[in-house]
Amino acid sequence: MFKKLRGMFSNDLSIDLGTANTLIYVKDQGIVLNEPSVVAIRQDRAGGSKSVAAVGAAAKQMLGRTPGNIEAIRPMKDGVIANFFVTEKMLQYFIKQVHSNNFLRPSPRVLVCVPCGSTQVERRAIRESALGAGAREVYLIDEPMAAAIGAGMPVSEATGSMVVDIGGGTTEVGIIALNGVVYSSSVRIGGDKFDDAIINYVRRNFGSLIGEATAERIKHEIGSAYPGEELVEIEVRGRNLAEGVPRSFTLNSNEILEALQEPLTGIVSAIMVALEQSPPELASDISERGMILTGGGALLKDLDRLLMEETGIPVVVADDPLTCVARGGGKAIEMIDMHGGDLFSYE
Amino acid sequence: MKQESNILKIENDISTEIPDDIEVVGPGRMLIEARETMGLSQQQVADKLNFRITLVQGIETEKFDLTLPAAFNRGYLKNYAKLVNVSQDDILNSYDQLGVAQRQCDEMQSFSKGTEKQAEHNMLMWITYLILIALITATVVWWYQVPSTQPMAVSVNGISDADNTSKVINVNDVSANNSETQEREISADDIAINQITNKLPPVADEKVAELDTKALITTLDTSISGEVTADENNDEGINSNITVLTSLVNSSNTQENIGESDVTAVLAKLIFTFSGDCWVNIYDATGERVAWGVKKSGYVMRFSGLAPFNVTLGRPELVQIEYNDVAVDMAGFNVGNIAKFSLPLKP
Repeated sequence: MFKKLRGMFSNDLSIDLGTANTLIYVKDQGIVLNEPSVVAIRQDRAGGSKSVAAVGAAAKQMLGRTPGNIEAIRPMKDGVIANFFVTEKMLQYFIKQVHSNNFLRPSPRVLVCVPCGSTQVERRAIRESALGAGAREVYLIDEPMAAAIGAGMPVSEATGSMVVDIGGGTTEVGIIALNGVVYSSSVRIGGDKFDDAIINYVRRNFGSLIGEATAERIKHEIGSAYPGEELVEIEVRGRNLAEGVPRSFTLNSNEILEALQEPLTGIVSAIMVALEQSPPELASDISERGMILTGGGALLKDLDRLLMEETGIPVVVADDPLTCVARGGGKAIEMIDMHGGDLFSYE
Repeated sequence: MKQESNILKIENDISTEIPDDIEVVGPGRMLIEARETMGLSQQQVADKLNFRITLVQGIETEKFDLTLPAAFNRGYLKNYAKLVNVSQDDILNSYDQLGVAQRQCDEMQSFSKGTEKQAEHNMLMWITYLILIALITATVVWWYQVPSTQPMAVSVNGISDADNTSKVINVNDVSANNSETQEREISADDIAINQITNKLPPVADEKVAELDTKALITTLDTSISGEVTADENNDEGINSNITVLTSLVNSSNTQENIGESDVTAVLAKLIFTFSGDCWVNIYDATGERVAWGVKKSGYVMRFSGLAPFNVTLGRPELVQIEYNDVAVDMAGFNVGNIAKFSLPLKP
């Protein structure tokens, strides 16, 4: 009863609880929060109580730079919850941040996007976590469905639409028609795997150790999925494993392309399997219209070109691919009252 | 200050009018120029982007498929622009100015049974609300109507009695031995004359309660208050106080009381003579039990009360009854059967 009252003063939220970033879409307001999914936990003495020191961008800056009493944690791993307590705290913080009403604790209806390959236990964990963070009602939606809606694909039409959402932890491939997912697959390859591949490549070929943040910066600046006409270089610093001291070295885009081959091959394979598995009529629609790339991974340079070469069908990068899932979830939650929950996923 | 704001407004108007004067270059024309500069044919572009040749021609002639979602058209334009090294933003801005996107319908449909169910639930909910509102309204109406239908009247030990025309109440005054009748005439404030004949309750046995009679005397247009105390002496030394209490009848209430004013309070004297043990149960007109229990042989029970009486006799053949000194014919009751009748007997 009281929760319902508080719900009257809360906004409906769509949350893209991603491995790398958490985005929140508020009904009638758009994307209001885009923060890294990182929480810094402080524990002053052993066995003492833990408290949240920082969340989001502030916590991300602490990654790899924390003293003994602070631990910077990424509570999401491979698209699902790795640390329930920290995820709950993070959601609580974010939900509170998007509500300006300080008098009443917010109790919104929340839609959370989940990977289509997540297990029942993982979905239950996400639901419980959102409820624990103060949500009045929690709806789940498959990420490919949310991504397709957010990208503006005709999900309700009787034509096949293919969407590839490359997130931080997972890559979701979905074929959608008539408001339903005809085929979906999820591979645990995403932006994090790209970073890991770069770290491993540097260690193997340069004998140096670089951190996640450095690997991410390299990916953003010279990362490429297809051999380009111009060679771009970047100078990075890492700890030389043999000498144990920091050393600087130069990496070029071809080397990064080589480093990314393994995760890129995994993504291409998942897409090829999806095309093979799709019903002929839908395959025909997809072949004619093409597929749409969403998620942060779609921003990797020339990834669309690689997929065009490999699949032979048009590949389109959605407008503002980073926010597609959250926006799609937002549209879905706006349609709850009108269309009911037919777009939603269940445990 | 106002002038400044006016100037700013005029400048804004000018700035918004500028695009109308300049010839808008469509995206097709920009792409054709870039393609020709690079020396590519439409077929080569189609091959590189996995487009159909008709699609390339359609883009160049700016004949976009309106059945296609905006996301695809924008994606094709971005891919084409990227291939021919034209700024994607310029192409998209030019495309937006064509207003093609506004003509595309992105309305989502729903096919799930969940929607129908939801609609059904909503309808049931509304019906329930309507029933509840109707019930509450009926209760409120009833609540207001009940007090207004209650008579504003007179009570003689619970009996309503009012006569708006004569306002005369005749009550027989009965003494235990000589059945004396007294009349009391009461006048108040020089208004209407009301007569009251008081009755004295006989004390037939210890079970018969003494009756305090409260008679209300009413007038047509005025209120009368008076108190009459009558002390009576009888042979058995029973004193009865007759109190005529205050009555207040407004002229506005006279209409309401007309229907109920037909009742005339009549006191009747009863004598029961028992020639054997007999169980009796007698109620007077007010519903008050005036005698109850087993009466012994030879016992004479005298009492008076408001007629008619409901009498139940266990063995009617053993009882002789006098009603106002007139013997009641008991021959009509079967010997050995319980007799239930009302006094005076109906002809």
